[in-house]
Amino acid sequence: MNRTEVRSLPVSGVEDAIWFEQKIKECEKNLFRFAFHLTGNKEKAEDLVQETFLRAFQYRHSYDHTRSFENWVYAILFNVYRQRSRKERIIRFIIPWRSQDDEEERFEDCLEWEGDDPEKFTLKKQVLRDLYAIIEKLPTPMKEVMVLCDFMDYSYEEASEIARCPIGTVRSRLHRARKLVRARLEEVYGEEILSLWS
Amino acid sequence: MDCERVRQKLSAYIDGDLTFAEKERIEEHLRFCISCQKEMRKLLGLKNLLRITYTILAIEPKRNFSLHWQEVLQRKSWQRAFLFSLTSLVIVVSLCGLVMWRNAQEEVKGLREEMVSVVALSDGDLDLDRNDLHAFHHSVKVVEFVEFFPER
Repeated sequence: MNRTEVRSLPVSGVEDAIWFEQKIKECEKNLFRFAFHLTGNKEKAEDLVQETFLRAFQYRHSYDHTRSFENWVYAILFNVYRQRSRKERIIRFIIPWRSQDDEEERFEDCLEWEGDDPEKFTLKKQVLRDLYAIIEKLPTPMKEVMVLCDFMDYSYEEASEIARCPIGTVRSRLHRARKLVRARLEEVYGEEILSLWS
Repeated sequence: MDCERVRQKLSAYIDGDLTFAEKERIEEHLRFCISCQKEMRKLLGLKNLLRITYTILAIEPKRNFSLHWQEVLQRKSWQRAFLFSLTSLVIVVSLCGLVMWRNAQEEVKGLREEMVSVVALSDGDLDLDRNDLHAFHHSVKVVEFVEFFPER
């Protein structure tokens, strides 16, 4: 994927805001989808993207205009997401009975799958729901590279730039993440389930 | 290359992240190893499944970020200003309370010393006038009241 663009620096505050708005418009949908795959929840994803844009605007002067804006914003989103995950883990540790009732809505209204008979559609939906549940339970660093490389189709190099870790780390995390997801899917649906998708 | 090493690199192989030489070696191994071929098919299946998931999930944000980001920014800065004022107010009130408490302690200390000297002067031969008695009673009351609360 080619995500690099070079642009001259905006000079005034108004220009700054217009330039920033234009940039947001270009990447907001992708960023939202990315946030959704990380959090698995629409509300959380929207809050995450909102916070990311605010921080990006706050630190806009640290943006290197010779590099991709989208990658820079993705890296900020990653930071915000990591901070929130840490907070959530602490809250869950302190209040273990805290409910997670908002996690359920994600698949029912989101799937658009045409041309399948209802039985096949139900099975696929079930597989996807389980797949998502498995990814959700992956350790955060593994989940991050899986979302970047497998969902968003980023190269290892781009993923290492966004996640701020060496390429070798991306490679090994992705390998382990895929191995785990595969093993858990095969546990539920049998060894041949993935051959159906190849 | 043995199967174990090939399987460790299969993930990078299907992503096209290997050097030409590594790729060649893996392809050579895959040509005759059926179990590694099967392994690769499964990995490809997983990769496809994940890509399909991404494609078919028709998720759209309810908010339009590019239209409302300035409003949100303004709201956030108001919230921050409010929180800052509230925190400052709490700090100022606490400091005032601390200063007042210190002054009260000082006053009590003075009164206690006054009491001690009055008692020492009247030792055995109490000859206090009305004003002295009034001051003495006042000191006793204040000290009793303050000592009700433990000293730091």
